[in-house]
Amino acid sequence: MTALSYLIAGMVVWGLIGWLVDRWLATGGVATGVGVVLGAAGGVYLIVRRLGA
Amino acid sequence: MNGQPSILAAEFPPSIQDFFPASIAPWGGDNPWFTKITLMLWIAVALIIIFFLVAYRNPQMVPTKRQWMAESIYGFGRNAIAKEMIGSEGVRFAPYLATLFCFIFVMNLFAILPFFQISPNSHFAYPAMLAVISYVLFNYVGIKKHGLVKYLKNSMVPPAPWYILPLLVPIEFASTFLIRPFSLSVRLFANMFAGHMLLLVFTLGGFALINANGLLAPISVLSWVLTVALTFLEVLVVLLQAYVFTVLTASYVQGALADEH
Repeated sequence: MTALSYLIAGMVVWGLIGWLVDRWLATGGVATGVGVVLGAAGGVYLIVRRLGA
Repeated sequence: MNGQPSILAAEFPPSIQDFFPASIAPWGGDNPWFTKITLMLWIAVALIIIFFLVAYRNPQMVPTKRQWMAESIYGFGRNAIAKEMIGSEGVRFAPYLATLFCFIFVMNLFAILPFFQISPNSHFAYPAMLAVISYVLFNYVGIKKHGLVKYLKNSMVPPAPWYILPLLVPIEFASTFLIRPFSLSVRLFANMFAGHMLLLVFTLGGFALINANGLLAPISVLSWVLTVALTFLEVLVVLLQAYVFTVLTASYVQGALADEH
């Protein structure tokens, strides 16, 4: 449950930040994609760090 | 339907309107505060209070059957949830957790009780309010134990090298303070909502089939048999969701109380 919440939180938060950057710089979705991937990576890192061995 | 005699007047497919029963205020009018839903809320609260008062009115060393039941329910909240999740200092949360469990369980149980057949928890306001209470509780407990700054640091700054922290802190913040109350309430709400919707679809679907064509009668019987099967599934969901909500609340309190992650 916590793991899933970290993953979703990461993708949502950094996806949102990326989306805002997209709107600001008019980059047409690139930043959103980068943000979601970054957020997923951060979420996985957090899961390993907090719930892993 | 096409002039044929209709067995049941309810329309198919079921819609969101089925979740909003008409007002039952004795003075008439369309009063949203006096419906079947709020009636069930009052019944649930009254049932729980009366049951525990009666069971404990004359406590015996060797418990009577009723006292044994009440003690088992409280003991479950105390030992299997509070102590198991939070540890020995979790006992002071046992009254809240046991009450929460009983309340959600009785509210959910209305989903399958004859003549009620809908759970108040299929209205988002009820689980949302319960999640708000749990949210305030675990934040309050954490701030009281650690102080605001240390609590925020504990729950938002994970053990990681400084250069990844800018990436991780917003995730921790969203996961702890934004998504938790949301997922807690939506999980309960969606389960009860979907359960009621499923039962409606299978019951009313049976009627719709038999009304559409008499040859489809065997299929509508099958549909009603599935309704019975799904009702048993609902029993499981009712119990499980009450348990999950309580356990997650306990786990959040435990996380707020923990010293270091």
